[in-house]
Amino acid sequence: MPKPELTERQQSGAEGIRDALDIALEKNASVFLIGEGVADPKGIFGTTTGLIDKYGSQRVVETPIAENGFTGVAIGAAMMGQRPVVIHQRVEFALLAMEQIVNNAAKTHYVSDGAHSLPMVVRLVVGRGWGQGPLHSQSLETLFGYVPGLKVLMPATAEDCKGMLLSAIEDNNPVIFLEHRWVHYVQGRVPTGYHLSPIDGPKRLWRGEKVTVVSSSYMTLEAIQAARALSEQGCEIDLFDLRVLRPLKLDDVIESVRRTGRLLVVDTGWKILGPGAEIVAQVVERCFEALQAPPQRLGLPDHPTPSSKSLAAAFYVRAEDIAIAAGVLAELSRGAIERAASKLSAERQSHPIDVPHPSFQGPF
Amino acid sequence: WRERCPIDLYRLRLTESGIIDAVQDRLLEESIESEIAEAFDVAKASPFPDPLTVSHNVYA
Repeated sequence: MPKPELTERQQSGAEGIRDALDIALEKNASVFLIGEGVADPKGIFGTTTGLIDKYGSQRVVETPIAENGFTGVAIGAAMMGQRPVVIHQRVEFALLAMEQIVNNAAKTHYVSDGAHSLPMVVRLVVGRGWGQGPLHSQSLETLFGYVPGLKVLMPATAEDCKGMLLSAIEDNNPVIFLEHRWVHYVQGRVPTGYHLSPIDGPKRLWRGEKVTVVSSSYMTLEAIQAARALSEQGCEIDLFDLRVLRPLKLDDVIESVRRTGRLLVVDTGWKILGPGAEIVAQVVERCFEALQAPPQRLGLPDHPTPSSKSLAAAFYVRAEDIAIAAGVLAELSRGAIERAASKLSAERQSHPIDVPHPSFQGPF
Repeated sequence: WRERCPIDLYRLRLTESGIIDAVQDRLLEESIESEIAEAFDVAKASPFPDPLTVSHNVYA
């Protein structure tokens, strides 16, 4: 009796990322990892643990603190046919390599008229929680999403952590892979083996008719909680996990807004000039006549992340904020909105600030 | 600072260690100059690119 090839496993986002790297390193000799801490026992939040023992220091390359330099090394290697995965433990460390990424990586294929491709992945981690503060918690997808020639991915599920990273490594373009630190903890059932999640576009995670909600990265996990709470009040939202910021493909979102007439976008980073700005602009351009209310956006307030817990509590967008904004757009009764928000707020009170909520451990 | 030109210093290091001699150095420079000159000739003789191709090859 032949054994079925594909099975599933319950695992975290971080485990999925490690699986993807392990599978890619084994499958293709031109794949290598490079970055600060890739060989460290802490294994970059469990995502590279043990890989240096398995594949050696020529394929898991520990670097000095020289982000601009080793990104350039990776770009040169990619132009010569290697498939590097550059890893930064915080998004902010890539800022020292922005010229390499924006000028050299993003434009190589265009400038060479297709003679050189640049199959490089850059893994970036968005920090959050106690001790991160303003310099280790920024969600900078907008900076990378702005640049033609890059692809920008933001997984929110355990399956996408593995499947989208494998697809990114297969992709012949420079791909920015933005992992929210708290998405490393999300649980889900993930197919084992060489499982690709396509780099296509938004994925519907909840079906409804009352309001279209587009969220990305960790905010998708908060949005799912809001969807549940609103559903209990009889309000079903049409929730999309954005997944791919660039290339941005909003056909399914447009189709949804044509039905619901209402749009809420929830960004992980600052509201001003975040992905929501582009999404709202495209929706207004493409289906203005379908809108029954002005589109709304949620995102971080216009100042850096505070360090103190007393300030951090009010800084982040939470499931209850999403439920309130979506409920108001959907013209849900005030009582129903309050009940949904109160329930979400009560679930959060029992939990310390600044650590991921244990309920964000699917499966969804 | 001109006396510390890294390109001149590196040429000196290569010639002093015998990795390259003055003749090879001159031949190398001449071959690179002719490669550049040829590239210029090809570019000047070529038509301008078709504007319809301006957005091609952003992605592989």
